[in-house]
Amino acid sequence: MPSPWFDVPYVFCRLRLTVSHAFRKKEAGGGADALVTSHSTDYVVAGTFRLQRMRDSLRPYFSNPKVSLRVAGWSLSGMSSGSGESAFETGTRKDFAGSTTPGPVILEIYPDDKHQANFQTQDDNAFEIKLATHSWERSGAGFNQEARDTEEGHISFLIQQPFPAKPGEVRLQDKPPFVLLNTPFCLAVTACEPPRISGSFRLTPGLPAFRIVDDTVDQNPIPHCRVRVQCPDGVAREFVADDAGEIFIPRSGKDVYTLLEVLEDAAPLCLSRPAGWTIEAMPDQP
Amino acid sequence: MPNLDALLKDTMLLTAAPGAPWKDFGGDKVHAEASATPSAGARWAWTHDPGNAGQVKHLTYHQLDTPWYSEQVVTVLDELVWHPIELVHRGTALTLELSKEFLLRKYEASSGSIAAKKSRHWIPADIDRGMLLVFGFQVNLRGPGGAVTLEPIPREVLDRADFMPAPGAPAAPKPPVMKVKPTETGTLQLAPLRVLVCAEFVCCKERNDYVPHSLARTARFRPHLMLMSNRPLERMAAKVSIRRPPMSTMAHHGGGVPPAPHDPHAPHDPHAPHDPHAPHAMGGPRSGDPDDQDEMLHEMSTGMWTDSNSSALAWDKIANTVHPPFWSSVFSRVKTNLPTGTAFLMASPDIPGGPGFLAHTWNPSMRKYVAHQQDLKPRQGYFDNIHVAPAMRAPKSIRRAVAGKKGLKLDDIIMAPFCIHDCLHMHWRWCPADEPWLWGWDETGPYAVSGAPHIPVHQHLRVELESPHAFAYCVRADKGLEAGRWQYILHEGLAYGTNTSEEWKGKAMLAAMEFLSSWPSAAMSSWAMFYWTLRYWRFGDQAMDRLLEDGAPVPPT
Repeated sequence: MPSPWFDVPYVFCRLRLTVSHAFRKKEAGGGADALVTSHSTDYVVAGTFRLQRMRDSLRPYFSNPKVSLRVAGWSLSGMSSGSGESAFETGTRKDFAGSTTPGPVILEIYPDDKHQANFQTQDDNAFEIKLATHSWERSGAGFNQEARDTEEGHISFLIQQPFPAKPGEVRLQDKPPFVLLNTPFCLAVTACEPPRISGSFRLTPGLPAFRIVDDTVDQNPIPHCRVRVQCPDGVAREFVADDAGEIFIPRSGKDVYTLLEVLEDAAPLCLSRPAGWTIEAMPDQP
Repeated sequence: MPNLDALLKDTMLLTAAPGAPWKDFGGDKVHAEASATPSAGARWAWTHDPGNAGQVKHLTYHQLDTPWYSEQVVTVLDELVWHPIELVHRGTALTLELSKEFLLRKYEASSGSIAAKKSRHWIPADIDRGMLLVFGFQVNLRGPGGAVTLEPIPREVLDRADFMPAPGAPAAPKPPVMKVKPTETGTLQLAPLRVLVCAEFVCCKERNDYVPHSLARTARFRPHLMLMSNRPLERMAAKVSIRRPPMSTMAHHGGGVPPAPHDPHAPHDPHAPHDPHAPHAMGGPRSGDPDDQDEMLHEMSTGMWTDSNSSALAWDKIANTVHPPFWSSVFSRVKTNLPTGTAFLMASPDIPGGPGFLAHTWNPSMRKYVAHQQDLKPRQGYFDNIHVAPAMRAPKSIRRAVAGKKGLKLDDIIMAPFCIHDCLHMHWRWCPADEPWLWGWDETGPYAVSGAPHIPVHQHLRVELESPHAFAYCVRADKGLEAGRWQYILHEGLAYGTNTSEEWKGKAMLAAMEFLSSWPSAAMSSWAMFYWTLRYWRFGDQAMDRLLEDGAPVPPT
């Protein structure tokens, strides 16, 4: 089925999934010594990445095989029972702040189904994180054991929501018709409570040469930032980032552009410092 | 490189009570707890409203029964205010207001202890009630060009191991070469200036480690600020206002006119029906004529003193019934009944020490004042301490015996060098002493150098009188403000005097005061007369200051 989405070369995605909840459950009918389970967590999964339309697909299909998600947060899970000498308690805290290993993300739009879209990770073994764990067991009789270790886990998600028939900016719904998030922070396979979702898809004319963002998980864009760039002809020129913190420079062939510096001659940028540099490659399709 | 939780382990409250519970105010929890709530330990109590996060109000102390006064709850402070902190980074000025918008966490605990040598920065203490407020500020890099706006530090940043640099870490590494090919997008992340501020209000149980030779019992409270930034700062200025009520709320047994009824948790009403000039009997040791006791004025007044740098031995004399601690032996400078607006530089890295001002002490045999040049310690400023307390008045029989002789100054007697009732003390320097808790800062931290000021070596301290019963503690620093290193403000804390360390010492001291034998018998059981004698020498019908007040003209001989 035809769709103007077939004419869109790139979509740029900004995604934030926030999970925060706590519960404490006492085993029914267990009396004073009933088993109590508890779980609390507070974490965020975020990403800013570009998806490129794949040619020769039946539907508008965008993908990026190497997206790295940023993750920060913790979870605390435990069980306890009894009192006095018969009391016992066991628990684990998991912490992580950093980025996942790269993995594929796709966006597939179904024009024949009211432009419903699937936005999801692929490959359940990708998007790996290594969490710091702190586990303990204690008993009222004096047993006390603790261990600190690391644990591997994976992040995956699937979000379904309708897209407009006409291409343009699309905001992710706070509560879409379907959402699934798997992380190692929660006891069950999926998040105990649905994540709060924010973000958007934006259409861009091509690949920006540079993005200037802050150092948070969200990588909030820093708009109207002036930079000095060494161009292929050897001349250093000044460019200004757009509202989304992006700097587009028409490029071709084997041109190489070098970001020399952010011009920090005025507030608030004079109160910032470079904190990280990453390159996202989006090879041309064959 | 520490995250927030690791950094907070350096605070006093979490050193004493590592598992203290906390309430989250960051991110979408910014609307949590919007009203004032009382906090109460076994002795201390106050009110804190996160809506006015930079203020603590109605601090009270539950005094137990002593020979000098009966059990009661006394108002120590009407309020304490942490004013906005001023910073300069890369030539740009920022103002950090300790408001709810930037409040991330609020910890509270009613127990906890710090053992000896457990902490480099905190001396032994037992917590009665403590509060820790954690504020996070960062420059909003998405703000309008040309302006600096601040926003709270995002929660996920707090969890990062590189939230703050390790102290002494090298300057930022050389940036990478940022090249992109036509099929690549390069993302440059910029980190804003971030500042973490901890405001602690830690009230401690009574101890006897506030004065030399452990001669007095005091209950310390520590309303300090701790500040850390992820970049070096060029300048920092902070101000804390400490405001007592204008009238003492302490009641004494022994009859007389008691203070007006006072709800310690109600705002102070200066217009309440009460004659501030009507003293009430406070009673010395519970002996003698109950109608002929010491009297206490209700109006607060403020005095400042400088310890003599050769006075350590004089503190021994407090327990020695023959040679009491005369002001001329324990102090080198004094100014009492300070008016509003008075301000002095109390410590500064610019002060070299060495030969200093002249102190004039009364020489009874020569019947004149003799000048002594004082040897000052490096960084030692104008005064060493401040006391805000009501004054005393001699018992009736004594005042009647010398009726009309105003020159004897028996109606307004100031307590020092320690205070027997309702006195708020703050010492930012002590005389050279044996006890490490009386030592000041060096480059490595507090409690390091005998006789040195108790503020960080690069800070300038100025104390200003806001009123006769309130003062502002103002510090600034323009060096030593490294990234990832705590800056402590008002680290030395304050103390509320409660009693002598052992009651018998006070009684024995009074009983053996032979130098009061020429006065009516009530003097022998009078704290007021004890204090009068420490300050004055009776010269006919005149009370001659043993140590002439700062700035007072030297009387002609």
